[in-house]
Amino acid sequence: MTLLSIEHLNSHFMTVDGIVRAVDDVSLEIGENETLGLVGESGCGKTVLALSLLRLLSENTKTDGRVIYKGRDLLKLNEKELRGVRGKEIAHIFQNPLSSLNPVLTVGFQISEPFLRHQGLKKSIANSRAVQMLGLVRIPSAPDRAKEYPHEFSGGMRQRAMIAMGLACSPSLIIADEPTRGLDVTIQAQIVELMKDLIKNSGASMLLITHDLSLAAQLCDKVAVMYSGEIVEYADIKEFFKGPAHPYARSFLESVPSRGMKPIRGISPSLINPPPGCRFHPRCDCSMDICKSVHPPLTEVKDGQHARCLLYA
Amino acid sequence: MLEVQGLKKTFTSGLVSKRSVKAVDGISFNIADGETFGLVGESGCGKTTVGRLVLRLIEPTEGKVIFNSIDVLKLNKKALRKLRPQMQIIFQDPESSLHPRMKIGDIIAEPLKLYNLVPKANREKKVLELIDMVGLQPEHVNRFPHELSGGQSQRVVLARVLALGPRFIVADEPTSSLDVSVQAQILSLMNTVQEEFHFSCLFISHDLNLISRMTSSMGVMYLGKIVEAGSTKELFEEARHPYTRALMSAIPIADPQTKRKKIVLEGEMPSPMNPPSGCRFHTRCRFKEKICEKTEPQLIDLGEGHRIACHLYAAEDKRLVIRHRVTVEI
Repeated sequence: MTLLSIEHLNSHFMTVDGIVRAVDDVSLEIGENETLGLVGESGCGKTVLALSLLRLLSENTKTDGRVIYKGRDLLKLNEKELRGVRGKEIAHIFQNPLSSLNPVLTVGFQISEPFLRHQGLKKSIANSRAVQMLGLVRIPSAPDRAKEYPHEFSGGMRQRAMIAMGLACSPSLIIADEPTRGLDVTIQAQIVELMKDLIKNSGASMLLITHDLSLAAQLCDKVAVMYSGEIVEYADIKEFFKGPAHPYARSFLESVPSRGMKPIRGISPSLINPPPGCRFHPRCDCSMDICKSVHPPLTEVKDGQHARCLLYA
Repeated sequence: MLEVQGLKKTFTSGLVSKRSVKAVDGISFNIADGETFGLVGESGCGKTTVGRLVLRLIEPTEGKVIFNSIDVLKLNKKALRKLRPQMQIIFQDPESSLHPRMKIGDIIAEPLKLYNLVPKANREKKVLELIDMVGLQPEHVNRFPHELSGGQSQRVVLARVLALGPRFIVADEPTSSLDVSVQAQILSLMNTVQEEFHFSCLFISHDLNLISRMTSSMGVMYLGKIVEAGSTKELFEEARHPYTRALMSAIPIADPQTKRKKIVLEGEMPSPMNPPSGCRFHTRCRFKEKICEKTEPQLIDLGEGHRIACHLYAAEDKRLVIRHRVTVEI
């Protein structure tokens, strides 16, 4: 069953330098109980894609396409309806918890807010639910910790608090944007284990945004690789790690230190003026003459594995 | 080439009630000519401080740093300045290491000018040579740092360092702000230039994947101390210290098929302001014994340079090692 379906989504920024095509004609589906990893390097548009879903972008953005969640197009909802979805149906765990938490409110209060807002619980009950949530994400002595402010938490604990806040109203979909960025490996391992458990127990679906392929390998069922605003590969996680089909996805995987640390030559293209034809052709080892002029469609390579490459067209 | 002995640094703060942090507490290691030594540890363990102490960018409280049989800590300002071209550092964040209002060409020419290594007439040629060596284009000479990407900026930093022909470079998380594909570019470039220039390197990182790729020997730091050190190969094959083992098992693997038993450490690193008594790791250690809470383990040599500070391996108490082995096998 499809929970969220993104159809021909575009998010373009109107800037003085021109139109930044951060998300360009992206279509994706997330099934129930499924974790989809959206991976790519900085500036490929993955965070913008995530922000577009709940319409969290600034006003100079032009977003069109369709985002169908349980039969409703999120892009057509009014502000009030959208507020009913944000945090309740779809939760967004932002990257960098320090700047996402309000520094002058206690952590406990911030976690109790969704209970007050979406479930209309009394303050005292909401508070005890917040303490429960903190316990759920394994913060020791949660009742005391709930009274503390974000600056009193360590990086790993702030991330746990963010997760607790996201899970507060048992959403059906969690959008997690780089949940382990900036954390030490041992703390990363803790967070990964925690997220695995929570996802399994709650039955929620997740869209995991990351630049870290090994994180995707640990948490996801499916993976979509983004390059220059487009999805260039979409596959089952096991198939993907057996052998990515798209040359960029392949090079991206091979550049990971444990996978050979092979560099990709050149630099990521500008989103204002991407190369014509296939956007990866200037850096691609398999590029042909036709790649310079023809923009490849996303085609199925073998069951379930899709690539945007003329080698397979 | 470089010998560090019992290096210590205590930072004090506060006017009335003085508080002190032993950021680095007695660290020793050697780096051979042309070799890369890796220093790995979690944030706050003091690894960056070690990098700076070795170069005397901050003054150590105690210890010895011998570079090419010169005692670096005994040098006066003038002599130290003379030594600087031979000892260089690459910082974490390339963008903030470059002067925003200087052109790339001037940035790279600056050290040549300061130390007058190349006559004025040849400077431009030398800059172009360096630019080419680090994989940039001649037109970059006239650009400003903000016009470059993170990877390109780090190339400029590398060119500036190489301009001086250093014998020793401290690389402090040189790629932590870069994408993986760019990280791979920069690190393979570093390998190439290291072969060409034959310098030694202290490679500081929190990423064990990088340490395994870049270094021949390594030390693992925890709360200001080295808990285990040895050849990189041996440590990756047979880490002994419980902390090193946990770190190794937490290395992310980019393959969903690989199943591995993870040792997930409980809790977080204690504050260095108030480190635990005895062995500093005992609060998170699975094999904690009574002795660990009271006595601090000394670094002992297990042979072939493999050093470890853990009571489980203390020579006089073989019993513990046996018990430890049994637990691990289960």
